[in-house]
Amino acid sequence: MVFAAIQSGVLSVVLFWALWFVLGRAAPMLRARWQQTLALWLMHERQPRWLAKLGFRMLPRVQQHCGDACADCGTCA
Amino acid sequence: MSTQVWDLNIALVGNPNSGKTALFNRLTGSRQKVANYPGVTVERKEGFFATRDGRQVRVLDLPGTYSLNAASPDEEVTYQVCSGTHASESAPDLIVCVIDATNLRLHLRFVLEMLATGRPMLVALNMMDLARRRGIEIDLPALSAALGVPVVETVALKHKGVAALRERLGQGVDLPSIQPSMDDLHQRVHHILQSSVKQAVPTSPVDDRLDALLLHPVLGLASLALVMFFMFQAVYAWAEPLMGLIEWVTTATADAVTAVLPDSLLQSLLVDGLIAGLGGVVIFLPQILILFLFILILEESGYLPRAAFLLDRLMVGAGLTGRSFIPLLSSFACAIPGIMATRSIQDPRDRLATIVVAPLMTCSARLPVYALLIGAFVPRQEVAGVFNLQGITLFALYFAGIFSALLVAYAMKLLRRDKTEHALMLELPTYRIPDPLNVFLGLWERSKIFIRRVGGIILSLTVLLWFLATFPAPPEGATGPAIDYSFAGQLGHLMQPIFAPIGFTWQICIALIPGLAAREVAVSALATVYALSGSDEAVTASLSGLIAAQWSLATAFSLLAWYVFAPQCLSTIAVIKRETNSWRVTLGTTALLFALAYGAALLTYRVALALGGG
Repeated sequence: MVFAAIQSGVLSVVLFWALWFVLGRAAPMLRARWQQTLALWLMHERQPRWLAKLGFRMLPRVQQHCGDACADCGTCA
Repeated sequence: MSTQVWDLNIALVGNPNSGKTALFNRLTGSRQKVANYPGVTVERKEGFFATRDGRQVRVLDLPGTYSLNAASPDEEVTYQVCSGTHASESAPDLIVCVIDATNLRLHLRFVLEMLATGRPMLVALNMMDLARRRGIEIDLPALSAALGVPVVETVALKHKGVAALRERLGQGVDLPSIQPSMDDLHQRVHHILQSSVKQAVPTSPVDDRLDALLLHPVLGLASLALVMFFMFQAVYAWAEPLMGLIEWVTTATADAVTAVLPDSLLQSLLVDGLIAGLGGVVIFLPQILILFLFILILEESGYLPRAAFLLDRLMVGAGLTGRSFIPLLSSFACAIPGIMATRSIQDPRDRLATIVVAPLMTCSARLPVYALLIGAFVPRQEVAGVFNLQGITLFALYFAGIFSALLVAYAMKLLRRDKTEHALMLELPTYRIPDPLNVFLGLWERSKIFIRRVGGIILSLTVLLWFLATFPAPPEGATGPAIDYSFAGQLGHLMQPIFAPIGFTWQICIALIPGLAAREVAVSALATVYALSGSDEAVTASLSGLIAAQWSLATAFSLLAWYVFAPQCLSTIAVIKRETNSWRVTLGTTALLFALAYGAALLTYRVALALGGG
């Protein structure tokens, strides 16, 4: 029973991370928009302080210009 | 725009190959930021360091240029920054002009052009060790007096003179004491050389002797072919022990996890998904590193521009230019930096031809696929007592990529209206013994990139593929392998009719999809699919052994032919769009390469079947 619960938890986290990562590679702007929406919702004043802090940390970093492909996005080589 | 936090703003300028970037790395260490200039795809490198008295210095590494008469976007940026006319970059407080001490005749012309801008300047006389070795004596005070600016000698690759340069930069800036005119630069360079440089012989005798062989129209090409051939032989001959070690670690880890965890989904994810999938890719790291060891040594030794010179006639004949050589060579690592390197090609027509054929160069992501199939289907057999058959096959595959690139470029040449050709002007650097530290750092960088990919995109896609190949579970009473009922299995079977004429199995069809994100994921995908679709033996047996038992020779060769052409990397397609700014070119290139891949695979499969490889 405990093993099944741990297994479900681990699999969910790993799958979510994999999906999030692939989305970031395939559609970085879309992922950034979703990330920003979630972060702003968490930062709303009615949310507890710790959630607001988490939301602040989740805000996507702004990249103004596209850097050279190898150094920045790491999708090549 | 960021707030100014530095006391001194300097810009490094110089001709290409002057050692400017090596000096930038030595000055700033790891305190660097890389981005693009707004609106153009020109790389902007900025770094910082502090002088002994605590002053913060910001260093800008500007693109290399031979002249301030800009002919390409890179050169335009350099000109605009130096002249203080760039829209988003303030004019530097000081320009550090990096010049090659072994090639002053060329580099001093540029120094005089820079002096004419009237900006405060300092000259870093780089590669002084090579100059001394070649018997070039430079009178620094005389050179400094003739130019009217301070001259500091450096050997950026060996960190020599960098402290002196930093110290000089800490002393502040002075305007040039002489304002040269732009009249007859050649004559002025001649006078400066006469007054400050003594050189026993105009060129290095060692370089001359080596060039007599390596640039010879016949012997030079033969030497190049020999070097390439040896390189691919070594990829197979030297990697064996390390690959064996990685395979042993992978198997031991899978056994340990199987022993510890009960038979469950988690165990399946770890053993069938992660260990089988990632282990199947990591095993090829030694081969990739050996390939790059050779490329780095050739690059460090100064041989690569000579190879470009040798191949110029062939490339022009095929509709490319000698300038295409470096972008195409970069494409052997990855097509993305290769396509980006085409920015140095000024003619849009030549640039387009290079961009279209760059994905045909065999990038390092294809190597795991080639290595897997060659290891499974080509016997380890000696040829003529010296070479091994597997190395020869790999050489042939690389050659097939190059040959097809030339063929496509030639077809483009036949179709275009403008038949003019452009002469190649190329600076041949002095031969150097490669610095082991630089080679090591280059290999370390490649390893980091590879491991980062394994831990990033390959890992995430393997997890997703495991999920798609595991769910939904087979219905009650199902007799076939569970994967047949999964999302991935159904998709594979759905795709198979399209790829059946070229001999692809449904497992290969599944592997082609994640392979779109990164080519080598196809290997981990195959490992996962076979681990999930087979018995317990399938989990423990190597992927190579499994496909050797289940695929026909014709299918294996067909997949190899497919990979020579297919641009199965979405990042490459995205970069083509970004660099050409044209959907027409992007979609046209993609369609062309897929059509070539299907055609080549079909031909290979049918011929192999006819020859009894079914």
